[in-house]
Amino acid sequence: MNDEQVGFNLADLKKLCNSYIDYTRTYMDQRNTLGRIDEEPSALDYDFVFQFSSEVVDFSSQYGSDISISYTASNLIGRPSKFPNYGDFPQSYVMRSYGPWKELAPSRKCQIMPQNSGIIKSEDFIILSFATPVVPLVISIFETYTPGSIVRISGKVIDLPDKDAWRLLWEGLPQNCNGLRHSRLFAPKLNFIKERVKEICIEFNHSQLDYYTELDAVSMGGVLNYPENGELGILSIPLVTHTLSGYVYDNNEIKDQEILNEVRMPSVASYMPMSTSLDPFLKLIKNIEELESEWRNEPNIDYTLQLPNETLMYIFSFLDLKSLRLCMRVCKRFKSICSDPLFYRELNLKPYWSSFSYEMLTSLEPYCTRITKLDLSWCGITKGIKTLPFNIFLKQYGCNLIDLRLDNCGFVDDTTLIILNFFCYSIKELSLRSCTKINFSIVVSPPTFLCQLERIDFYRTNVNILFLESYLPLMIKLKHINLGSCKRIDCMDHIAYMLSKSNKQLVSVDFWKSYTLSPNGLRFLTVLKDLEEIDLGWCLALSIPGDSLVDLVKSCPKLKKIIVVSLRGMCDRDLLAFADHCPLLEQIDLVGLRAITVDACSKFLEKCENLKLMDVNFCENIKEVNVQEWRQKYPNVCIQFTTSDYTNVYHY
Amino acid sequence: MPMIKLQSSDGEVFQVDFEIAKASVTIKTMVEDLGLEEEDEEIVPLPNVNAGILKKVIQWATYHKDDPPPPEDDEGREKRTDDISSWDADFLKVDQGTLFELILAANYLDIKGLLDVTCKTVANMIKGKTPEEIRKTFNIKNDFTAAEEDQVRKENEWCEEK
Amino acid sequence: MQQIVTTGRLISRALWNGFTNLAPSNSEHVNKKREPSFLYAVCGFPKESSRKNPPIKGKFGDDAWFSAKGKATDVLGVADGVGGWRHYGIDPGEFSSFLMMTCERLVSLGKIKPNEPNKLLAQSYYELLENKQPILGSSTACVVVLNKETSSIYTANIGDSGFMVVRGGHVVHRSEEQQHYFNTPYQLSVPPPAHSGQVLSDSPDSADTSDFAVENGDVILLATDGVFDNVPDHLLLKELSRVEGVRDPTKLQCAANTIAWMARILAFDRSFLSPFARAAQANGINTVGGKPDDITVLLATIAM
Repeated sequence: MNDEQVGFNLADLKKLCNSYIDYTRTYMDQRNTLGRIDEEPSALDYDFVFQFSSEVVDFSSQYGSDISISYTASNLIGRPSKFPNYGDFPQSYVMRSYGPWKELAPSRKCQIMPQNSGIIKSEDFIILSFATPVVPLVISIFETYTPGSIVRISGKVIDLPDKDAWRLLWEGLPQNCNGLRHSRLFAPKLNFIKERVKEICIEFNHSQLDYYTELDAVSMGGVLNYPENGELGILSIPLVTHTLSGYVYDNNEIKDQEILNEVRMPSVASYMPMSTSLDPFLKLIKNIEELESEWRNEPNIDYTLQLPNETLMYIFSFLDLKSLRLCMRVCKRFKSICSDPLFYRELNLKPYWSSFSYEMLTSLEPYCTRITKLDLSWCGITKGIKTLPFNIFLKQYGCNLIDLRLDNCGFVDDTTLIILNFFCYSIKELSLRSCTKINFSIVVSPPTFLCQLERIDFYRTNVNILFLESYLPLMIKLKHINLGSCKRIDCMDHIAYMLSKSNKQLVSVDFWKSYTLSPNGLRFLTVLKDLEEIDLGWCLALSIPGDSLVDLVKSCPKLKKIIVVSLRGMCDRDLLAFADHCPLLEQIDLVGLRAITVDACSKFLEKCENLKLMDVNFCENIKEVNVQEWRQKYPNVCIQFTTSDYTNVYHY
Repeated sequence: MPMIKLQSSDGEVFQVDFEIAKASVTIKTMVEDLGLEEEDEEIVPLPNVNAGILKKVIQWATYHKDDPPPPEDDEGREKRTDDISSWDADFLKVDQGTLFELILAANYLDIKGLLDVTCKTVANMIKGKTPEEIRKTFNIKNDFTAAEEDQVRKENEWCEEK
Repeated sequence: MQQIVTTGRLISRALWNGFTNLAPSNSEHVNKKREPSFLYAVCGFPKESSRKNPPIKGKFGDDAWFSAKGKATDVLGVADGVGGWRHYGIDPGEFSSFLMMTCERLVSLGKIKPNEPNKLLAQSYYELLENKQPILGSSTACVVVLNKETSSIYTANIGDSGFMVVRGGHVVHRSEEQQHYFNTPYQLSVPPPAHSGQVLSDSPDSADTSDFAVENGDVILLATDGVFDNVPDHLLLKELSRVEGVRDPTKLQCAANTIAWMARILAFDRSFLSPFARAAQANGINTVGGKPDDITVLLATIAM
């Protein structure tokens, strides 16, 4: 599996490893205390409040569409609906991707400033709000499918008047749950903070998961006030016991007691990270410590003086941003080296989203004269910067920008697009995922910047046909476009037509959840000869594709990734056409296709020699025994299939 | 396989397999430019590398002789620092002076793999440390005035937060 | 007739536990602010009652029902799965059940405004398409939304399930049956893609909607056609009038059980001139007897 964890901070790393040793102790204790549900926790003396989340504030992605309640973020509100049942339920929160597959797809994005990703790179986040602010003591996440992706929990402190302050409550590597076939109640040991928290942010890394992870509910328990004499620190709370007890306290319904008995106690092992992730770090710590002790009795010679500046620069190029900035304070020479704009050609501030502020940007500004790639994803969460200062920054430093990522940036609006247009004329890649504040109502003339664009990501934005009509014809170099979950586009066929006219170099197109793309629209795309990836998931108007799918694959032989989730009318003929015309096919998603037969799949598997991933969940005709046979015969293909026991509709 | 002779700055001569010595782009270029034949007794002088360091460099190159050539492109993968192999880590468990000299040698001899692993090792010793700790580790003198240091610190206050 | 009613009441005392549900006590709601709320009881029978399958909450055979509380609403609903799908290997109960359960979720998540019950049905219907598991079939549907702020009910009905409001011994409001032709009610459906042209599928927009101001003590009966086809109006009215203003959940439960039981007995009575038989005769079909069908009875009173 690709490990994207490239940068780290030694102190963090040590803390992390120590915390895993702590886990073993704490959870062994808990295993012994679970069952004593009647035990009154002493926290009750301090007005202990237990609550489920009441509102979803923001999130990075979701499987379902914004207007639906199936597989969407809104399912995290309130009590769990399916837990402790385990399965792929529409009543849960599901994110858009999982596993290594996104990085293997033609539409993958390269990392900006990879040395800055931190030990634990987060891929998705969700922010939940609770009714009562409390000093958090226990946060429990009810996972009902493929657990193990939670990597960070932060809490937003409410008592600070002027700015949003986020405190880290817990952090860890993704856990090793791939063998687990039951749901999990994840309640890690939190860092102690003295302030009250009303909103929490949960971050996920699902790159090592076998399949989509799904969550049912999130609860937070804590005390209303931090006691004056600070005794709270002494409380050793059996976390899981509390969570379950709280479940009962919250509601008088007797049936909760039954649930209590049914919940499977998470095994200690399921909280531990995979040894493939943890071992390298343990080894690294050991190396560093050994070297440190080796150097302890060194003569007082400064060997760095022997190195030429370029070599020092090369050493510093492996440092994350914070370490680099701290180096500036060591001595004048380091300061001058670290101030070189070459270090700031690529700037990734996403790992620092929780402390992002206008001050951070201004402290980095003087060094950004040669900046070419900037990733400010998630930095809008703290509301640390307003639109105008950011626009000014872009205006000043945007002329060399070629890659700009502004996912979930609430401070980006139409005015930013104007700035981009006039001052960022080199932009090749632009990502505006979930930038819901942009109305796309301004059409600038003359539109210039977009002529260079090779990639544009509009996932979950309000982009409309008028805007696309004005700009698509100019994006002649466009290779990747993502129009997934763009609910304001009411005639996707028209967009398809435009793409076919002006953007013939397209390599990947994403139409996820576009209800208005019909076979007519799909037919336009047959001119895209270079197409390698197409996402037609949940394009319900394509339910009866007719010949359009066959025609498409006939003219796009380079296709490597095809997603046709839930196009119920797709049948064997289409699948066999994929096999016949797309020899390079690597990933295919066939979820929910009830007409596909075992025979066709077998032929498909035989023909597609490059296949790596095939998802046939919810295909009625396919049975476990067929899948097992295929898994044996084609060990290089990851065949996703779970028996329908987990997904019985009546398990309500 | 042809052997070539490498001479350190202090006169010692080392006979090395050319295939191994090729890891150094400098040596490779020199040999190819000079058009050396197999039987030639030409000695390649390396005035910037002393015997002790040259010996270690040869040791490293010998162990890594079957490594695939490092990729030319600048893709992000290169920036990992947690992928130092156990052998390399043991190899580099040396005093500071030796480590830095290895860096200089790798730089002069243009051996990318060795340069990477040595620089990553130093980077690992810098990461996560406070400025004072960095100074202590590397014996660097703090030449800021109190006012100057204060100003730099203020500029980067957000680095203190966690 | 009299005999049947008495028997019904006697038998209903032995609560058919598996098929009934006691309403949660709403005493706290009643004391607050004079806001109305539903006190309800449910009872029913599947057409084929077999000991093999354990009873599932929310379903009676191919019928389904739900109750939910939203921000300022109480909602009840029934749906009757169209049995014909069995011939195509599709379980008719899945569709109606899913429809009702999704309605319940939509209400609890606060996604529905009180005065738009047709939107509730529509969105629930479209959610069917958002499920990874294909849900096929069709059903009628009827929902009644009590808007606590305005003390009125908003209703939406597609097909031949329906509701009836009784006050002071009279029916003051009721739904109208929607039929394309005899025994073919309007229905929401999701056909298999290959057959979409041939299957009857009514849009959620074709639902009949109404709103009606309710008063303390009003009785609302929400039921599938298993009840209305077999129990004549005057019998229903008699039972319903008895529970006007009743807040005792046991009494409500008994009444619900009685109605369900009456429907059950009459359905299998071959010589009884049921409302269904009358309608058939009016359409030129010479028949008598009840119509065996799934029966779902949701009986609610308004308490303020």
